[in-house]
Formats: sequence, structure tokens, C-alpha cells
Amino acid sequence: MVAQLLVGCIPISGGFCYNGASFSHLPICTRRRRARARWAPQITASSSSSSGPIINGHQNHYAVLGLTRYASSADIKRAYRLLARKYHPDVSKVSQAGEVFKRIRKAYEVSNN
Amino acid sequence: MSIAFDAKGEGLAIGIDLGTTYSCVGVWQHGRVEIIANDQGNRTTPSYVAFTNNGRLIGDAAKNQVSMNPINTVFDAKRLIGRKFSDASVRNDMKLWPFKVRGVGDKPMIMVNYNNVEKKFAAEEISSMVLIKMREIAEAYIGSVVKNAVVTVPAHFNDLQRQATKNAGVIAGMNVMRIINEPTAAAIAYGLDKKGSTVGGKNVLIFDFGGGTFDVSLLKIEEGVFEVKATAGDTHLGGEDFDNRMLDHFVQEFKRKHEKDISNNPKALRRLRTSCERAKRTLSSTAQTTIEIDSLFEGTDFYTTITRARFEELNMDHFTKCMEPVEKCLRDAKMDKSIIHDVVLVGGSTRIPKVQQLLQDFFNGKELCKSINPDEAVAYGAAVQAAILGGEGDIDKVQDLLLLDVTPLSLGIENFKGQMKVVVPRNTTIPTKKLRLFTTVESAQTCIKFPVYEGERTIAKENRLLGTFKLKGIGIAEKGVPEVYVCFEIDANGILIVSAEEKSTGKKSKITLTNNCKRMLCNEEIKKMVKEAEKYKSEDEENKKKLEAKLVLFDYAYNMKDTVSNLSKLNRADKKKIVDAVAKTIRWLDENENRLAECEEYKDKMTKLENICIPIFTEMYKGAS
Repeated sequence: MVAQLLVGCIPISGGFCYNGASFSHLPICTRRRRARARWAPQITASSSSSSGPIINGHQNHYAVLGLTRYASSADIKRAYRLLARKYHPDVSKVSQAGEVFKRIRKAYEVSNN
Repeated sequence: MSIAFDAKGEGLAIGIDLGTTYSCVGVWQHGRVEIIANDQGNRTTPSYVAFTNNGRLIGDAAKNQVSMNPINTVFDAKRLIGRKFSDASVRNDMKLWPFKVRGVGDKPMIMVNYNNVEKKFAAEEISSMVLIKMREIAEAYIGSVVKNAVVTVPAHFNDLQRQATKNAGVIAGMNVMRIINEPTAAAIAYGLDKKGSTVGGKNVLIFDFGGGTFDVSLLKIEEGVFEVKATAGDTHLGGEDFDNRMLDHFVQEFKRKHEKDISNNPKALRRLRTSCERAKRTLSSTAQTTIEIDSLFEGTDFYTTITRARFEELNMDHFTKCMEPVEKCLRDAKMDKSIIHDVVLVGGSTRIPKVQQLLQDFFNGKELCKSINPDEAVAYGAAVQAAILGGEGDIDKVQDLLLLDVTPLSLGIENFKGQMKVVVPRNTTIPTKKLRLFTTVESAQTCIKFPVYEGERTIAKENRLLGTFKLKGIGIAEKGVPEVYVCFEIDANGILIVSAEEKSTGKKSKITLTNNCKRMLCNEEIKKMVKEAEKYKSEDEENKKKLEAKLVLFDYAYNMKDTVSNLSKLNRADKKKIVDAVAKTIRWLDENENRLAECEEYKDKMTKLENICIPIFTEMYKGAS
């Protein structure tokens, strides 16, 4: 599940920090560009280690919606609506419905773009 | 989600529209929604609670006595709920309220005199009393106990206001299955019969303008899925603000005409306000109306007229302010106004012709949809959602219906520069889960503080702080090396859980944004309030019993008085005995008219009276036979 969500771009930024004792706002220190380049492969690695039809991000999302990558925008929307009606926690009795719905939503957002 | 299924077997679930000025309750029964009338026959109930020396009154009873008891009659609790005492809106509202509000640790508390004791109540408690009333109305209609309810809030309510509303439900002893947005609920009322009727779906703009709040939501309804695309609004704009403007206008007029200032007299202000509300309603259908209040202040009558044009002029800035959220909503949803199929009016303030005109002009003369009842639509939708969550989904009509709501405000974390780093942008469909990667800004930093904010400003401090948590025990490393994943998870109830995890050490920390801020109630406080609510309820029941005992005595005394005066058979001495005893009882009742005595006292008086009357009558009938 976590791996699923990691697919796609995750922005990296400096957190608001304080040093236990001082409570002071500390000066800037980010190497965003470097950091992102360094971490990107790790993210890909973690996604490929999870189960499911994952080859790359896009195909995975289509698979979640039960579609092929050639699906039209209308197909995607329709598949999403049907799955949402089936797996939204309000209407589904499946215990993991919340998680399933979040995945469906994510897949829809990515593939519909 | 588990809550929804728990609901099964616990009776019907109801939908409650907990409004600023009026509340409404509905239930799904026999395949349709029934909006339930209260004991007065009204389908909406004033959100008023009055405290008197003879107990507590809620709803119509409270509003009806408001001019007699203005400082102990509480209303507008929704304008206080989940807010800080130091909020500008609270400060301004306080100037207009006849009841006292005091800050206890920045939490506003309402001060009232109840049974001759100074009491303080949180806004949640007042709202819980209204919820209890609404539940009782539903129970009387359904004929069984109701435990589960869906309660609505304005779409633009923030997290704390939602939590506080939920807590009000807990204090009322209810299981709040879901907090849903008012315009979304109204959309269900609008779209229940229309779902799936149009190919390609329908874009619907809900314009919800009520007594205290204003919301705009844009939805796409397609194949039974109600997807909220965007929402915007103002949690502090509504019919009451128009009343206030009018009230101000008339106070000035009174000063001008009679050289008397009524602004420090709560009773006079209340009477004038009630007349203003009535005049406002009338002006929606007529061009001019009169206000006539006898002996408003120091024996001076107040007779005046107001035209619709004048009313509009007084409130023009409020009216024009309404169009901004409409634009914002369209912008957020990336839709042009030309592709909106229907503009639906909800809430009492949408009856104002000027509001309708401005909205119609905005949509280039498009006909506005007035097909749903503006006062009941929200409760109607809430009742449908309650049926869905309560597992009555086997009913064809609601079976295929799904509501996809959004977060109204962006959620994020303050970074070291004091900026707001948005993790969940506004109008994100919920439930949702979003991750963001953070890191340290100093070498060997072992602790990161995460202040969680809600709002649209880029400077975090200008947004609303929801809570703060720390992740400790980060492994010692160069700055920028530790990877800390921050995860924002929002469930279908809109409850936010923020967690942080450091990759290398696996250290975790999380915060559930419930009851975490100073101005929120902690669990102990809620428990205490639940107990108190039960206590008030039993007091109410006790008062009811006392009242009944009083009426029985009253009835008996007058009955005896009548009977004796019509009886010729009775000898003079006996007659006098009864007449005297009855007169004594009635005198006692009159003396205690404004006070409820104990049940025992009434029963005692009753027995005494009976002990005098019954033997005499028995004797009389014996003699006659």
C-alpha cells in the first residue's frame, strides 16, 4: 500500500525544525535537487518490490482501474465511478474498503491527467 | 466505516440539519424522506435554549419567551462552536448577543442563570441540547429510540468546528455516524430523483445561504455518484447579519426620533430584533412593510416603515460579498459558468429577491432552480445519507447513490521558513492519503516538530493551527540526510490523522487531530458534560412531573369549586369547609405561580384537599341513597 502511494513524484522539502534544547528556528539547509536525485531510485525500488501488476507507474494505475493503457478519458471516468460505487467505505462492507478506495482514487487522478 | 455498520439493529438513523438559527430533522422511512414536525407542528425548530427558574426550554418554547428572558436565552451557538474567544468574529458577535460570553483559557463559555445559579456552558453543550430536542422530535414520530444520526455542518467549517459539532453529538448521547456538508446534503435532495437522467452528467451549483452561514458547492452528478468538485463560502454570513443591520438602522432611527438610546436595553433590543426578522421575511414578497412595537422603551411606542430598497441598501455589501465564493468555486473546479446545468437555491436567505437577482445576473440570466424546499433540503439529504450509512441500502432509491465529498481547506505543515507546505490541497476528494518527504535542517538534529495547519495563506501563522506533534529519536546524521515521511490521512468522516516516520530508524509519531487544541474539549470534559447533559435531562423530566402534579392539583381544586357551587344537597357547614379548603389551595398555587414546588408538596396538598372533600361527598351520597 505504501509502495503504491509512493509511485509518482514526492516533493522533498526542508522540515520546520528545532533542536531539542534551543527551540530556535534554524538556518536554511536544503539540497533539494541533490536529495531528490538521490532518493528517486529508492522510491522506484520500493514500488517494484510490492505485489501487483507493476511495471511502471502508469500501467499500474490503469490496472487498478481494470483498464488497459489505451483506455479513453471517458472509460477512465466510468471505471472510476463504478469502482467508487463498489468500494467507497460508505457503501462497501469490505474491511479494507477505505484503503482500496484511496488507491482507486489515486489511480484515477493519475491516469485521468 | 465501521460506525456505519454498527448502526444496524439500533433503530432508524436520522438526519439533522443543525442550523445557526433553525434546525430540522428528517428520517428515511417507507422508501422516502419524511421531514418531521415538532410538537408545535413546525417543520423547523429554532436553535434556541432558554434557562429559567422553572427549568430549561429548547426550541419554540425557548424562542417564544425570549423577550421576557433575553439574557438567559442562548442562540447562535453555531457561531461560537470550535472558535477561540479571541477570534475577531466572536468579539463582534458578543457585542450583539444579550447573553454573556466569557473566555476560559481562550475557549468561549456562555454564562447564564439557571435555577438561580450562575452556570457556564460551552457552545458544544448548547448545541447538544438542540440535538437532544431534534432527536426527541424524531423519536416521538418514529415511536422508538433513535441512537444514530448524520449531522450537517457548513461546507466551509474547519476541522475544529467539525470536531466540536461531533462532540456536541457525543454530549447529547448520540452516535454521530457522519458529519456531512450542508450544500452536499442539499445536492442529494436535489439530485435523488434526477440521478442518471442526463448523459455525461450534470454540473450543479448549490447556493446555500442560511441564517448564519453561506456556502457554495459545485457538484457533478453522474450515474448516482455525487462528486463535489469544489466548495467555498463564508462561515459567518447569513440572515442574522441582515437582521443586525436592520436593528442598527432602527436603533439609530429611534434615537433620532425620540432622543432615547435603547442599545443598552436587552429586552427592547430583542423585541426590535424579532420585528426586524419578521420585516425581512415580509420584504421578500412585498415592497414595503411596517414595524409596530408598543411601548418599546420607557413607554415610547415605535412605529415605522421600511422599504425593500432601503433593506437592500443596508445590506448591499453583504449581498455582493456572496458572489465572490461563487467565482472562487468555479475557478477551483476549473469550470466556466456556461457549463453549469442548474443553480440550486438552499437556505432561507435565498428568498431575498436581490440575492436571486445578483445570482441570476452572474449566470447571465439563467433561471434559478427553486424546486427544492430551501428550509428542508439539508435535513432531507442528511436523512438519505443516514439511510445509506445505516445500511438501509437495500432500498432501490439509495442503493446506487454515492457521495464523494472534499476537504474544504488546504492542510499542511509549517516549514522552517514559516511557510505553509500544503500536503492535502483544498477540494481533495476524501477519504484520502497523501505523503510528503521532509528532512532535517541541522546536522545531528534528532527531533523535528510538525505544526499542522489548515488554510490557504502561504504564511503558516496566518492559517489555523490544528495541532503540533514531534518526531523524536531521529538517528544522528548530516543535515538533509534523514528521510521523514509525513502522511496525512483523512477518513470519510473528515477526521485527519497526521503521522511521521523516519526511514532509517523506523521511528514513528502521529497525531489524531481531535481534541488536541486547548480550545477543544478533552475526553474528561466531554464525559463530564455527558453526565451533566443526563442530569439536565432528568431535571427536565422532574420538572415535567412537577408540572403534571401541579396541573392535577389545579384541576382538582377548580373541579371541587365548580361541583360545590352547583350542589344544593350539601349542608352549609360542609360546603364552607370545602370552599375554604379549595380557596386556600388556589391561593397557595397563585402564590407559587412562578415557582415549581416539589412533587411531594403538590401531592401533599392534593391529599389534604381530598381528605376534606371525599368524606363529605361520601356522607352526602350515603344520605341521599
